[in-house]
Amino acid sequence: MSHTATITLDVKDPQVVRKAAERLGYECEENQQVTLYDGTVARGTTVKLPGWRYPVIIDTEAEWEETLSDGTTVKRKGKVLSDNYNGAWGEQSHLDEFTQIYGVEKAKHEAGLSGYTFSEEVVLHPETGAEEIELTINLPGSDLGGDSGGLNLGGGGLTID
Amino acid sequence: MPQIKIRFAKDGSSQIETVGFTGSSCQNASEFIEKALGHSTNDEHTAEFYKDSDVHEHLHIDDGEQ
Repeated sequence: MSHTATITLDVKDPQVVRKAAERLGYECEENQQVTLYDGTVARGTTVKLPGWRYPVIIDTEAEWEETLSDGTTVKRKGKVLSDNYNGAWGEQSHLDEFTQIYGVEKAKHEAGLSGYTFSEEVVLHPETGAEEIELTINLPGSDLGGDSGGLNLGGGGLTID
Repeated sequence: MPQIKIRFAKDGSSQIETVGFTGSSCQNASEFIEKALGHSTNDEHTAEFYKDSDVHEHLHIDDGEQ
């Protein structure tokens, strides 16, 4: 039995923003105000990405609505404001990677809060071969010693609350 | 052994798969992580949904077009 869905990450947890920045070795400061090139004044947590002229500003408290392609409206929280002048002032891949790591750390954080064990490993996309990070969360009844490698002390990805 | 597997790509997209659930419990089990991560759209069942009632896969793909 399977079903598929699309999930859009909302960067809305300041604690996890800091954790993701620390993991990547990026400078992170809370309660900052930044004026971007176009004059936009943004407030929130700043993250300095390597080679970027302006820091990324993350307003974790921002609540807004997004209209999807099918016409439905969803409520979202957390906004990431950035200005890299279409890549001239900073490589987009750095921001994408930060979003990736935020997602990983957020999932680990939530799994830990729920008392679930988890493990993290780098895997290859079955079609593109691109490296991805896979997080496996073991729910009650899991066989931690199974082939899935759910108990992975070496990776530092296991927490037991 | 029920598990939630989440794949995070370098472009910020993500993929979630639930394994080892029965019935509709996979959707309930993954709800907490879906809400924590953001929001889900285009939720639909795949062919395997109807073929195998013992294994549930819950796949989420963000193509970055949102």
